[in-house]
Amino acid sequence: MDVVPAAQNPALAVPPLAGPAPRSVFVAAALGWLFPGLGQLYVGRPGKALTMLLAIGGLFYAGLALTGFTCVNPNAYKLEFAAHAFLGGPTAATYYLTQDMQLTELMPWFEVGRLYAAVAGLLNIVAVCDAMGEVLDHNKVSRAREALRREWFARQQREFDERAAAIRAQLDAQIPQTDAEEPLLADPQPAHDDGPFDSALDDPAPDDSEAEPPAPDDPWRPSS
Amino acid sequence: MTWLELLWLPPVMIAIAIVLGTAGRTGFKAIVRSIYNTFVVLTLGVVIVGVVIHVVARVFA
Repeated sequence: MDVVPAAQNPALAVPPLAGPAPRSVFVAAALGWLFPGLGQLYVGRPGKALTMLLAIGGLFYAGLALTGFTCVNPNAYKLEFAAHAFLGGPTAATYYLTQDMQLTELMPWFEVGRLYAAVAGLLNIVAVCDAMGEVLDHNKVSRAREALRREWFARQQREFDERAAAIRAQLDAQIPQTDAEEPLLADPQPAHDDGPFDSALDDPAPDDSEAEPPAPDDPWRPSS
Repeated sequence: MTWLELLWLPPVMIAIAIVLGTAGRTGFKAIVRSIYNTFVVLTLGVVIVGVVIHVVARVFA
């Protein structure tokens, strides 16, 4: 009987990846551009995502509030809109919702609001780069863990093969080598005739349980 | 210019310090320490630049 090598044994195959799967850098960048902190959330950093959201989103909202929600305007403020564009989702939503709004009164902190909104857009570049770096770190750790896991399973398979080979060698040493054509067991039918004694010897021994017990009034019964 | 007019600086400095301090760091303590260091450096930079501008303006005024 041949032993199936462990590498070909489906019961001993390396199971699918159990840990966190590798992430895409581009998806993280796109999510981070779409909404501040979403890239960090994609990698599995909710605390960092919340921090980025509060810092960048808060600054952007403060800028909008100080300008009366009129600072996101590519026609009036072209250069600032380039900075706003790094905050893809909030800028698009703000532009869509406030494109018809007009300032009705002079805002005392209008210039500060414009600065806040522009700085928020530029800060999101840092947040996106951070999300991409987190993805690279995550993938590095994930690949290292997967390599260790595969190496562990390969070692298990090697040890299994070595043990199987050792057991087989031990069994081969214990069992005497016989010719394949020669039967291992003797022929149950005797080749010679022993005459009338043969049948008597071949008869099975009488079963004691079926023998009749001696009669109670048997005089020959030994007394107890 | 009054000190009240400089009130716009702390919010933006805090936001910059938070984002720059958080980026590239892992762990709560490391992030908090980095935010603090970034804020201190930003504050020093702003104060030094402000003083230099003030002095230059005084000299050439």
